Amino acid sequence: MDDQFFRRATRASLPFLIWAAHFGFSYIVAAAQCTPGAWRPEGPNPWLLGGATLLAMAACAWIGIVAGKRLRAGSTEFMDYVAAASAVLAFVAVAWTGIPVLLVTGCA
Amino acid sequence: MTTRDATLNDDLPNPLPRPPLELTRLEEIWETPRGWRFFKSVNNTNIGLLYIGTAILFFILAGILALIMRVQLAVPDNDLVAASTYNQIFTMHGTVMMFLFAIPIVEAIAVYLLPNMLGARDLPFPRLSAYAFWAYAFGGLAFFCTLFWGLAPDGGWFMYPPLTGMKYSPGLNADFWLLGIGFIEISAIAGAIELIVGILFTRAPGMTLRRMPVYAWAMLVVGVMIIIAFPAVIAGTALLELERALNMPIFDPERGGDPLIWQHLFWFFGHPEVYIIFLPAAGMISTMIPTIAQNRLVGRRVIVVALVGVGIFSFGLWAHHMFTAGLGVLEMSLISAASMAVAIPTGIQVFGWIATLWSGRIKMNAPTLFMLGFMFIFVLGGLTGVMVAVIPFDWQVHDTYFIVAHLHYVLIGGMVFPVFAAIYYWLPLVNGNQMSERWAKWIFWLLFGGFNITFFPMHITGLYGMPRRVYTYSHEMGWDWLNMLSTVGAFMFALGIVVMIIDATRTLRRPTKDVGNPWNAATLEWLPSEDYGNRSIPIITSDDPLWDQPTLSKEVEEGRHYLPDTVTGRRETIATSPVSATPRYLMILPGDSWLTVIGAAGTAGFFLLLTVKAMVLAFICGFIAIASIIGWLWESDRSVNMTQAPIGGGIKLPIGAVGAASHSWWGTFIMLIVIYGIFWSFAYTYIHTSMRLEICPPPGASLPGGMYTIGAAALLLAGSALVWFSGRLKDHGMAWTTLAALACTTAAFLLDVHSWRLVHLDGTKDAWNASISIMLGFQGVMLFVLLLAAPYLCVRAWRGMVKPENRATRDNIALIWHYVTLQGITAMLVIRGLLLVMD
Repeated sequence: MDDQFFRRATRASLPFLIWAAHFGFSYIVAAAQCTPGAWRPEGPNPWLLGGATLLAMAACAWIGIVAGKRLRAGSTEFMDYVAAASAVLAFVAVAWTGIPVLLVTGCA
Repeated sequence: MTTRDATLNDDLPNPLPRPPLELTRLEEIWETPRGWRFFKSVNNTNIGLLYIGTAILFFILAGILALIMRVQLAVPDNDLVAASTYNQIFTMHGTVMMFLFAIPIVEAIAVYLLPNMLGARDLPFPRLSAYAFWAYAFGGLAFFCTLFWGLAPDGGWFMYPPLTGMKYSPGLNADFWLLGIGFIEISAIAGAIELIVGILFTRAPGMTLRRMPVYAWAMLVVGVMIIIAFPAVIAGTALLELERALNMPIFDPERGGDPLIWQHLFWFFGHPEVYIIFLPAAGMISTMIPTIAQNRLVGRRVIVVALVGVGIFSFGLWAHHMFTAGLGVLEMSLISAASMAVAIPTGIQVFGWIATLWSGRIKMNAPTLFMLGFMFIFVLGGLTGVMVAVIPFDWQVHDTYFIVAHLHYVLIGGMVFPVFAAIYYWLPLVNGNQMSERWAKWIFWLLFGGFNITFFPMHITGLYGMPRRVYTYSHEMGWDWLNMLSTVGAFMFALGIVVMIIDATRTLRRPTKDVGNPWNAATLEWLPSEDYGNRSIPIITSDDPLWDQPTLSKEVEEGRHYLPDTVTGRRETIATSPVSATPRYLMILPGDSWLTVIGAAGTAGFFLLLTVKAMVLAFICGFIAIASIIGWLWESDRSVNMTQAPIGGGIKLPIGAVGAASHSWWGTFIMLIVIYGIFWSFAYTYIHTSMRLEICPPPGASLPGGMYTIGAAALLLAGSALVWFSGRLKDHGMAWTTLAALACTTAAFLLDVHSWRLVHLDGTKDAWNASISIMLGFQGVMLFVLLLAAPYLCVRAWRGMVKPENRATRDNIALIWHYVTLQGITAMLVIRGLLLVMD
């Protein structure tokens, strides 16, 4: 497409997609490690999930900082604004949905 | 003839005076058929009206069922309705409200409003919209009539197995739900394809994504959500029907199945569906509030981001309907946190609306009343939503009337009140008349009061422990007066609906008059409009075009903007680029046809007759449906006797586009995403079933030899390669290469089936075997599509109808072909890859 719709749309919504990836990964790991097929006796691995949470937060922060810099440099591109705002929302959402990883252990 | 107005913009693309026959040609080509021929109309504006009317009919029918329930529950130990009938009534109430009213009406309003709001003559696939509407109307009415024969489903609107399995529901009731609703969802998906491609491709020149109306943003998000969410429920209904009809035990724990698979699939659709219903309403509110307050929407850009955020977050909430199902504590906590997180972007929208009202000059009229009612009710529903997101509280109130109260506050507050506001606001578009403001106050207070009197007490009955779906209760429970209060409120609400319908009917029966812009709105649907949409397609330079471009209406009506004529003598609109809305090509649109009606009737007949096992008649209907669809496709993708179309301002656009630049390619691509979603729902079933096994594959089962799988994959790739190569050939060469590709793909499937037969795959033995059989069967379904598509392409190629400028048919069939290859290889990788991971 001549105005790079997919690239722009992906860049703008990337923080939300990171949230979705983090959420999906955390849920699947938690569910899988508590089933006979991939049993982990002590429950879901908190280091793995905590690391994924920090990584996702860092990615959201980085996208937000880059988009913020472009806006401060005078960009009027709508997608830059969307990327910055979605980075803030997604950062909060990843942090919030990551809290259970710190507080909950085991499979029960 | 129009005369020149000195105040108008001199830089417009088309000069005055306009040629005398220009408008006549436009009117003739777009004229809506009169009398009974109206029903063959495919224009989205006409279909939208039929769609809205039918959805409201279902709202009334489901509302009558609600009144019967309220009469039954008004007093304790009531025997007005038998338990079995009550089960059918509450199931049909929920099902009809959710599937036949809520989703259709939000799509219907969009189909009606968006062409004009975007400045398009019509959306890209009007016949698809017409087919979707008629399929929904025929299927929905037949489905509702099952009540009169005692055949209506009775397992609750979310149809949990094992209750709905063959053991506990041996009649046809559940089958009607599974086949009826599964098929009606196809209509919703067709609508979503129309909306997504329409919003991205047919916006007026200059209406960039930043300037696009918030309502269009909401519908774009909703369209994408439908594409992602609905495959899960279609797959779920297929799985349950396969268990019931062919004894494939996906949900049977005694044979390795799991009822939770249904719950996951259903709620992966069911929870986003709440937002699929709410976001269009939010979009309507964001469109109406600036008009009501005569003030620009505060935080417009962040509201758009919030809409996208809600759409994505809503996919992380499905399991909060399953807090009592025995999920792991960490999974539940993740879902609980996500359920609270979604309140943030939702709250951003609410604060944006309040700020817009606060800083504007509110005119207290009918739409304002209903919008304020929406905010009050929806915020209360949102707050109880956060309450039930807290797991221990949910455990207390799960399956009680507290949940009934919560869901009605969310759905009626979040969707029905905004739709009522929208009816008051946009009804003048139909014939220029407004509904009565005096009656509106009575109607609003009957509805608002009736709603709160009905549903607020249900919070308390729920906290007192009254379970939902009980057909009666004992006096000793102490729920009498609360239930009586709810019943009184329900009738008050119903009275409000009756008065509203009377007022709407008398308004629509008044003589047509000039629509104008009665609310001084800023959006394009208030431009002068006829069957052909706007006289010319406007150039947009602002977020609020009718406020910032004050001469726009006059300019557009005079034909001074783009495409004031028909260039090709057919229905057409301008396709613009998705981001910057720059004109790209002239999109030719199909005309009116009975084929869509016949195709829809055939499709509905196929599914409904299949349910009652009238196989011969069912397949006759199926044949009629396929023949009709092929007939309508046959007329498309034809040459016109020109290659470039002047639209004004010295701009000449190509006629049509090829490959990924074409709207039809995008429509096909989106449809394939849906199909891939269905496939992954089946693949999830296999993964879930496998992960629950102590030993996988289960004893007695094994995988076929690797060489068979490699061979089948190689044949699939060879088929795709041949199809790719056929695109470089002409006519006969293309046809014969396509047939060779079909042979490869068919051989791949047969080899795969043969390999599984060698290891005695038996879909009725256990859930693991069944899940693989279903994936294999789904590959067979896609092969069937190719068996229809390939000869169709060959005939067109042999007749010389596939040309460089008319290759949409070939490009789309090639796309489907590559998808079938992808699906087949994905299935092989998932089946073998999971076992490697588990090892």
